[in-house]
Amino acid sequence: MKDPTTPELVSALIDGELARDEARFTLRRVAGDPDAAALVARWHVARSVLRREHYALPDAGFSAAVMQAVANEARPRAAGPGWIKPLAGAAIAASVALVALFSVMPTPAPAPEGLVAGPALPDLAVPTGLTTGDFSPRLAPRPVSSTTLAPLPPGQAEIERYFLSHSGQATGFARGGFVPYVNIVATPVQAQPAVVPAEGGNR
Amino acid sequence: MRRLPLLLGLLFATSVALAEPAPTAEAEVERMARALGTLEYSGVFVLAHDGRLEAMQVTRSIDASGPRDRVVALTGDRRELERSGSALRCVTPDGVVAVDAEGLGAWPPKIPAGLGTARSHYRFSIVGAERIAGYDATVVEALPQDEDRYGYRFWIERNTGMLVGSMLVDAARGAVNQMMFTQLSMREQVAAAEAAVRAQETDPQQPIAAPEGWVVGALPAGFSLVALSPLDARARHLVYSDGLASVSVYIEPGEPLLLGPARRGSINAYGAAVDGHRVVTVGELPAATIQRIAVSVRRNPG
Repeated sequence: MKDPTTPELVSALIDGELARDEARFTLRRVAGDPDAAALVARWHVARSVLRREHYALPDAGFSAAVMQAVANEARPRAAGPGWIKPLAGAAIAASVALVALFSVMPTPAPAPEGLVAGPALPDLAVPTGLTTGDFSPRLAPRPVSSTTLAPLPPGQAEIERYFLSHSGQATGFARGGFVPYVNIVATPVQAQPAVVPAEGGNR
Repeated sequence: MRRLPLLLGLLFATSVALAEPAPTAEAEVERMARALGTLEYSGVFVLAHDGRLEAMQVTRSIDASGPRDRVVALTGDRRELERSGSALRCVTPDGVVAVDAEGLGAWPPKIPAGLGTARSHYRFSIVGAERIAGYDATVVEALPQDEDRYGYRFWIERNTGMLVGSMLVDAARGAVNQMMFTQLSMREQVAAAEAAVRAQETDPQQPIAAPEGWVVGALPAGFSLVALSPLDARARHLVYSDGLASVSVYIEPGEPLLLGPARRGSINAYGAAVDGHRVVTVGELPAATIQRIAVSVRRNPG
């Protein structure tokens, strides 16, 4: 039994590359697992971004909507020719995409006050045939540390401050730009379980 | 007729002399570093790391008070970071964490100009050209000469020098993370920002005196102290860099907040207790390097 939260399976599901039965099976498992549903939703948005489509954020009802989409797909249909099976998987993926698209906030996060929109530069709104598969094969999922790390327990903001302070003082090639902040926003701090609680630091 | 080859030769020599020299990979990286600090831009990019894919939005504006950055996660939990002047504010599902460097005497941070010693510790090369987010980009690699640091692949926009994609690679040339813009708008370089960046820059040849009383014994080759901020009378924040990567070393009195490794994406940290002080190292370097630096911090008996 495949784990529906593996990047490969999620990528294949979102890209409509799973056969009908496998897609349906995966979606059922996803719909019953809020974490997996969140992962699929996240990959859907990432894929939309890769395709330069309008991107959007799934809401909390995504999981239930996915379940409904699976139920709709599961209704008996007349058997089709064999070559249509992969497309059926794509149809389910498309259902997921539509569910995601219709259960979203319609606009991206607003820019801070004072930013005047720049002049129109090259037209970037042309959808391309990019899929998540174009991106992930180049990224072997390598952990950057061999040590098992876990999310920080609540109340460990002082440790977060070390990372934040470092990003604010970054030098090297990333000096002065947004690059040092990317890791801060992308992931929470993970630490070895033996974090020692103590009074706050000075950063 | 005998003059024709001579004329052709002269013409060729003149055209070669007038042609602009091809930019070097090192010059492209320096141009990119400057563009990141002096352009205004807004865009959406995808970050792949740890087998995960995240979509993020970045906005940078520059006004009389300086640059303002905002990075927002479009996927997963609500996470965003705002930087305005010396103030950094990070919003996470667990709450808000804020840092203001100005009150700590660390603002504006002094930054060494140029690539420092990076030329000696990375192999720079231009490896191709690609189109990213509708922009033509030069692809530049900076591969490390040892396993103490990561390597980089940069996609650098031809006209502005803006970074439109990047890949962090380990010693085996495997990707640690990869970032790529899918939408990006830019504005021309802002003169005030250019001046501010220049004012921040220090002479890389001018060594910064190490803090009295402490020794950081196991820095990778090429790393030198580029910034030293007294957090208060007894606490210090030291920043070392090899020109591309940087590592922070925090030395503060008190019990340790962190013992052992931590990480945030590709940024590693390590906490240790040394002689009644907590020592924390943070940087986008391999975990083993970050640990080695942390455990090498000692009180200077002299």
